[in-house]
Amino acid sequence: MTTQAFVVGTELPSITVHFTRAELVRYAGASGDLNIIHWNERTALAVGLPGVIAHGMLTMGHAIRVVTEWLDDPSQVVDYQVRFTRPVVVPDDDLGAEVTFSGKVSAVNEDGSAVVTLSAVFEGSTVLARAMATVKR
Amino acid sequence: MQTLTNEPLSRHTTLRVGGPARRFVIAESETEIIDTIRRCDDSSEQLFILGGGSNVVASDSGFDGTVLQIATKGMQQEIAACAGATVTVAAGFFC
Repeated sequence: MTTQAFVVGTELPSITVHFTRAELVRYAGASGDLNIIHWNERTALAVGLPGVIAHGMLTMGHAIRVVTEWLDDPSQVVDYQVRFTRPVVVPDDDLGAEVTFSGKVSAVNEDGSAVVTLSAVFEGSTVLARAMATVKR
Repeated sequence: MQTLTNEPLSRHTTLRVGGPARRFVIAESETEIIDTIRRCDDSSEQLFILGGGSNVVASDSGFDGTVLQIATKGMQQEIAACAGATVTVAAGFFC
């Protein structure tokens, strides 16, 4: 049972997240993605990145919270896809990188399911493109 | 080239999730990669190309087709007096 109205144009409450080095280390351990660019500045710079960058899937995981916190039941999400367009550079400080996630109902399908288009903004630019989740009633 | 049948994808993804791939091919050369893709194309078989297994969430129900793991290794250097150096690095995952 969901209490949310699936109406095109409905804006979901946005979420602001601070990505810190400590969180990247925890995510590396949890996901098994131990790629050095996500925790070692020297290596990240050596391969041409602007610094240590967040795991794309971590960013993706936070973005869908806009939807799961809006829904009654996270298993209503039946499809979710994004394209990673820009890296989230995580500085070596306590505040971390601030990313704001928001979402809007962009379509309602014939079967009653809805499509939520998500956005993720870091330093004024979007870091996810074509980020869409399909949610069932 | 190694071909495995009903290989659990959980063994090849960093998240350690994923059901069986009907066919799991480990390709160690360019020729093996091309042969595998061509065979899938010719038989209209579903193909998924896998590297080191990060950034992938495989379904518990597995994959009803061929998963091709790119496992090419190595590096070639060509140094010429006028053209400088050209380095070609294999795209296989490193672990």
